[in-house]
Amino acid sequence: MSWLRPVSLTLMVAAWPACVYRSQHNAPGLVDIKAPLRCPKCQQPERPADPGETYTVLSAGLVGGGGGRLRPAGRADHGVGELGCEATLLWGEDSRSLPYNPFSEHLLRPERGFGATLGWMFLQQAGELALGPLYAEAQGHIFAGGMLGLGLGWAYDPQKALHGPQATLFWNTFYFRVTHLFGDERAGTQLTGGILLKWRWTWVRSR
Amino acid sequence: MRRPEQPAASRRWAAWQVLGVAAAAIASMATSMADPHPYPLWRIDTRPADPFAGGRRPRIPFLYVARRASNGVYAEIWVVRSGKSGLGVALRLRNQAVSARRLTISGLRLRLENSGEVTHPALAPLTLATAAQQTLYAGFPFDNQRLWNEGWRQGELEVHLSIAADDATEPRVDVWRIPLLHDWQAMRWVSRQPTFEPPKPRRHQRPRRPGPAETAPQEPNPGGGV
Repeated sequence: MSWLRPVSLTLMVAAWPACVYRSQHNAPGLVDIKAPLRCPKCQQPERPADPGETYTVLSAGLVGGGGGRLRPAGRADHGVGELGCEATLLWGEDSRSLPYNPFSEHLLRPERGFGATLGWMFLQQAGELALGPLYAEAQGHIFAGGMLGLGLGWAYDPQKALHGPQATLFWNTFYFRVTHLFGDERAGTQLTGGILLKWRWTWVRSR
Repeated sequence: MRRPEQPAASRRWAAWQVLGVAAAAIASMATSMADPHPYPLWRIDTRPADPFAGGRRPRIPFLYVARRASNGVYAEIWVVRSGKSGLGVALRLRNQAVSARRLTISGLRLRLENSGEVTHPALAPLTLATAAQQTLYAGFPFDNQRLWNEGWRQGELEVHLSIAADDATEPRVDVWRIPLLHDWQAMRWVSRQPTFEPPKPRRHQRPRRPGPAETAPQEPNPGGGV
């Protein structure tokens, strides 16, 4: 079947959520050297306490979704569909170290962190198909059943020379975004939501 | 060109195959073992005469023990604690002689590759009755994380152990130099701490019951060795 190979290849790449590189820097665990023996009758080394880990994550991929526009009067105008790409560099930390297990590594979600995102909505369908804005955001996240974060930044549409604030709320692969470009009464405030499909490269080092 | 329709039985069989593979995949995920995070640990360097060579591992994970018998006392030493802020060693002493032994650990020094020496203060003297044993602990604080990051992985532990049969006799001082190695041991931790059971002494090492005229202590293992 001619379609099977490209479809399975696409699925395989899409299901590859993480590529983890570990550093042995700062690898020893935490111990209290002055404390008495935990078990004087045992003959076994004591397991060190976990110092936790820090992460540097570079993620890049596609963003796609849809929503609508609010006119200044507040009446919903017409729907918006969008497709873009974005890249995020973030730094995070976790109080627990990951086990050396590929399955756990795929679920890697730092407890807290911050970072920056650059993106471009290269296709935007709002009545007519056009190029969308470029944007830059600073973001912070915490762990809440995955990565829950908020990004605040600025969007710039080079075609129409418009710019304005943008806020993105994201949870794992889902996002909700508010963009307001000044100077275009027709554009108004844009509310969109969708899916972030990003591939991640993570560098892990012990704290 | 239109493909011929598959018979219903064939489609059912294909569906069962997909279900079987999916069930096996889910079962494999559920039963996959999560290896706990490993840490580099200091241990007795057994490489010069490595009993664990050839892929064999110690019976108890991470446990490398140096052993010695001297003047009726059987001593075992191992690194019990190792982390960013230093290392700690446990010293287990067991009196195998027929009379009490007075023990003094007068010196405990840790020499670290390219990082000088850490000295532990002398431990309080102790007296062990026949067949009694005691485990002592000595911690050596130093910046182990810096050593690990800079790649200094070797050390030597020096133990000055003086053993006397009783207060009247002159103590015999043994100097024990044990090579240490800071090693990455990616092995599985056991959740249950095994309780130490001292090995039964061989027939010629067993303390004999002294006769009425016999007062001299036995020498259960005069040679000793690590």
